[in-house]
Amino acid sequence: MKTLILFAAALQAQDINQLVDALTPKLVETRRDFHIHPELSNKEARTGQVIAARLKELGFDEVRTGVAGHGVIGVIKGGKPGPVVAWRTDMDALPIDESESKLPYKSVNKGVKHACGHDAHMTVALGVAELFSKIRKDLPGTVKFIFQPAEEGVSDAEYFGAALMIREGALQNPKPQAIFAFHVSPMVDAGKIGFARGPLLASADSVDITIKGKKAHGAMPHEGTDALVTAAQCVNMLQTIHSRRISTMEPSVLTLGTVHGGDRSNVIPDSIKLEGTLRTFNEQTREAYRTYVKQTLAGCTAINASDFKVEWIQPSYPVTVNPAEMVNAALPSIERAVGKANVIETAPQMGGEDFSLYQKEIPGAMFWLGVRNESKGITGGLHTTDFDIDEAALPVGVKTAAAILMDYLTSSRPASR
Amino acid sequence: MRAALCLAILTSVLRSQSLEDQISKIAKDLQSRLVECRRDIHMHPELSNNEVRTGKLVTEKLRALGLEEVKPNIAGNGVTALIKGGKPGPVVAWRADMDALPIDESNFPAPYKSTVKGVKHACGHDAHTTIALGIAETLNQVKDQLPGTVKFVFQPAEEGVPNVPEYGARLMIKEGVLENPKPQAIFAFHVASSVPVGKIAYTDNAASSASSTVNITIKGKRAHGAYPYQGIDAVAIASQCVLALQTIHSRRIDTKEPSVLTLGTIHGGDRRNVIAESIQITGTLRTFSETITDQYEKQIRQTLKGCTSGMGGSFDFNLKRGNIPMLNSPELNKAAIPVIEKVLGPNTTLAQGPGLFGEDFSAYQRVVPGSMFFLGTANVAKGITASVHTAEFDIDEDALSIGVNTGSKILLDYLIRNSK
Repeated sequence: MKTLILFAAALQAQDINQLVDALTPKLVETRRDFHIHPELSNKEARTGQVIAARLKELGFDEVRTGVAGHGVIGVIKGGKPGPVVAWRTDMDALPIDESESKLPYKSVNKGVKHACGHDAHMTVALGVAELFSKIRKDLPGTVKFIFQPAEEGVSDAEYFGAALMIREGALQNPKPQAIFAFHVSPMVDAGKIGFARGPLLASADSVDITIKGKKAHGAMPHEGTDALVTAAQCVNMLQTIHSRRISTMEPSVLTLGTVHGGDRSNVIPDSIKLEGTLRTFNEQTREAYRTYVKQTLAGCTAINASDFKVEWIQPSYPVTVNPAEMVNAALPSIERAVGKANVIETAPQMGGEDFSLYQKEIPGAMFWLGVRNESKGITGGLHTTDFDIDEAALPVGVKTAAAILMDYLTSSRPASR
Repeated sequence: MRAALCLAILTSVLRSQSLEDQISKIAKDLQSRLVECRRDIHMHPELSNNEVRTGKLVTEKLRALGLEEVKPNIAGNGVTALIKGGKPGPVVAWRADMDALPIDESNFPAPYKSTVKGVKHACGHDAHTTIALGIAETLNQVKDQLPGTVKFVFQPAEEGVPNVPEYGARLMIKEGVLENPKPQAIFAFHVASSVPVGKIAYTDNAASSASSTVNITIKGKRAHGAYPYQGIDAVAIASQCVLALQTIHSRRIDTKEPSVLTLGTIHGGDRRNVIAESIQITGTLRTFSETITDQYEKQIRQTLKGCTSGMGGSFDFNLKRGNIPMLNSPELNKAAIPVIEKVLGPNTTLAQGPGLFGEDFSAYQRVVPGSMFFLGTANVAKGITASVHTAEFDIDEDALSIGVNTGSKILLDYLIRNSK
């Protein structure tokens, strides 16, 4: 197996580097075009069209559009026999305004911004697609590019993003043996790749809680049941789940981000609504929280005979877990692409990703593509107005992704051939 | 001419009776006109500071009666007038309020229901105005025998007006209703839907609550919801604050001092997965003394300071004082009780505890001693039991001449007792 990898490397590493270097101006142009025209989750019409047109132009064997909304699937069959492997990219932008930005390529859609790097993800995937179209005859197998909409989630649909892509057959015909992806990281310097064995990103669940009391005149609280005071009790008690009921070795976060209720300052409110998010790193903890949240609310509201409703709603993502053996197998490819010194191990992050849903179907691994550059002042966090990437990361991403996919195809080729 | 002759004969007849009997007779004879007057006002209710028709009606009636110094358009649509008695004596005032409420009585079964959709005299101010006009008519007929001056104060906007700094009683006072001449005492009625007609309730000292508006902002620091340690969670802090604020009542205020701190609304946060930076809370504080309000203001601030700083946050807090408690004079009550019972019979007065309502009669009481009596208007047999401020509220109109008779006599008694 090792000889195979070395064989592939010797044959193509230099060629690939040259091809990617030639592609770099186009990568920057592509990324800026996406960045200037961001589209919200499930509204990625233009983005989908740009991708489909490009894949067709590259002579892909199959280009499926309109998957799970505006998703696109492109299949390229190599000149040599081999397995099927998938590369996944997300497409949607966020409701964050960058009209105050001084960037020459700032968003033209007011209030919408690619603040999670999906513009870079798509650009890298299209770069790899173009590269593979050029070395197609040497490609030992099939690569399936999955461009997925609505990764950031929508609240008006039960299935969207990865879940809907899978339901609409993204992992069938042909069925990939494995799936890989990048996510940009503003914590990792451009030029570097971050990896994690095991949990990479947390599970992310949305929860809606309603505390129900009984209305009364504000001067006569004894005639009602004060939902606001009850809600305050509940919020405090819910925070003790983390400190008292979950092993301190298990990282987890329950955040209640909004609280709304009451009609007038002098009326006892009968309903308070809380919205929150739960993040964990394993399914047992996730299930334990669901049980404890319900138990806590039942107890807290029983105190004054009030009532509650708890709903776990979409978006809801499992933990993103990279199988250790898959990461170990990919590390030599990554090291070859960026140099051993530029591959760093990272701690799990509390963000959530629906890439985890593909991982439930087939082996999958996601790596961090470093985009930080302090000397250029590029340090803004994901989902912030200031977020940007060092575009030097784009060719690095293409080289690394190509190496991971090529090596996977080569090493996973059935022995009989 | 004939009417004038009749009146002259009637007056000479009345002169031969005691002054009290004369008043009782006038009040009794007035009943049908009182009902007519009350129904007219009831059918044409006007919201606070819109009492144009009512103010004009009051002004014209007082002028027709021949009262002196009839001054309209005070504090908006308010009116004052004087009856100068034939004998020397002090000045005493009677106050009535005139505004109606934004309550719909389209489904009210009475023939005299409101003709103004969505507006109703649901707090008895139609009765208050009618009774005050009746007292003016009654005392004016016997003014030669009055030892002093009676000042009538018809006040607009008792129910309050949002976004106006001064209105109602406070504005009346500012515009001089308690000057030139300055009354030594002030009286008023409020209809009482919990007191049967024929009885009158009173409260010594604090009768109504002080109400203040509470505005609190809890300030934290925004962060991604998955990284709470990078921010300061205003939702968590606000929850601690709400609970801690409830212990002021149980742990820091003398339990013999009734009070309520209600937080009625809470709003904050941008998204479920973002640590909230700011939470707005509004509420109401009810107490029966300004000292307790002061204490709450201090202890709310102290509690918020401790709770927010303890969790790394901060706060804004503002207490806006509204109505002050009505402080009825025990001396005036004590003198009035036998007067009332002489009219209505033994055991017709009821001592009553303070209520959690607001009444801006309290403003006059800060300038001169005053008492408000609660005139029974309920009648279970007639099905008249609904509370004030409800769409079903009504009064037993028998209360009108009772009010005129007792009100006139409370004023007369005050003048007689203080004229030496």
